[in-house]
Amino acid sequence: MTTAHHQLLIVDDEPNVLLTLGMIFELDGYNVSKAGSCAEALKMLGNGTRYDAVITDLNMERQDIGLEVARAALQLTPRPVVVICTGYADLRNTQAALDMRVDYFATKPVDLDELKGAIRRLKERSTLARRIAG
Amino acid sequence: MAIAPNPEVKLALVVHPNLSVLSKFQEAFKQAGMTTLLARDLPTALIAIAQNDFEIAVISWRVTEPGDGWALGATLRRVFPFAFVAVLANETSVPTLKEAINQGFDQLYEESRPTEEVATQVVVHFSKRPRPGAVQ
Repeated sequence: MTTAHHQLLIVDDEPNVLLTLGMIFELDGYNVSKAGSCAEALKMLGNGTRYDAVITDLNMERQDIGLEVARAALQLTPRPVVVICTGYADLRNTQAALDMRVDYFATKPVDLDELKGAIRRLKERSTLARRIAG
Repeated sequence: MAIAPNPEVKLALVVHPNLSVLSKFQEAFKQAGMTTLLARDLPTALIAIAQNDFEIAVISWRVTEPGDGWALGATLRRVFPFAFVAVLANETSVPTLKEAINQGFDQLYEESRPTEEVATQVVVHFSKRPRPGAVQ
């Protein structure tokens, strides 16, 4: 499955992370949108753009606020692949991510090949599942 | 292995090396109106996965050796994208929760909890999960 034209939203309050991840996924063929805060991400998720995947940090305006981005993304139809990428994983936020059925949980420093592979596999899986569900 | 006689009856798979744990799950699920297939090892579990459509699966993180249950869960998720797949883990920690998410499990329960309690929780969590059309 090609990643060309797949819409990816990256949410992180660290400009360097946004820049680096953005470049890497653009080189991989994704159309990348970026949000520097939870508020900005929620606005983008609500504007009708169909995202294939959303990668969000957890700690931005406040601790674990990225869970709100994940929750909003998980409610979209069709549902994008949702990935949490954080340097501050703890029992509470990891359990919350499992409970809300986030697709992938990565801890910083991120293994980029693993992250790219996971998103590709998960996207394939969700496309197949959508076909099965009709 | 028994096959569910009625398509309305939910078919569950429980994979665990301990026969007593398997029996308790089977009894608890039976009371919830489910038919349960049991497996004590990976080959039996894989045959069951190949021959049946499961809506619920509960897998020990340790079937034959520590950690092999995680990969079995990932296999189940790929074959049955809408099934409720839970893992019985040795502990609730960031690494085990992360593994559960990344292997596609819906929920993690500590294996030290009473089996009947976990079975009840599985039924509750299964009934609350979104239906296929709404999930993906």
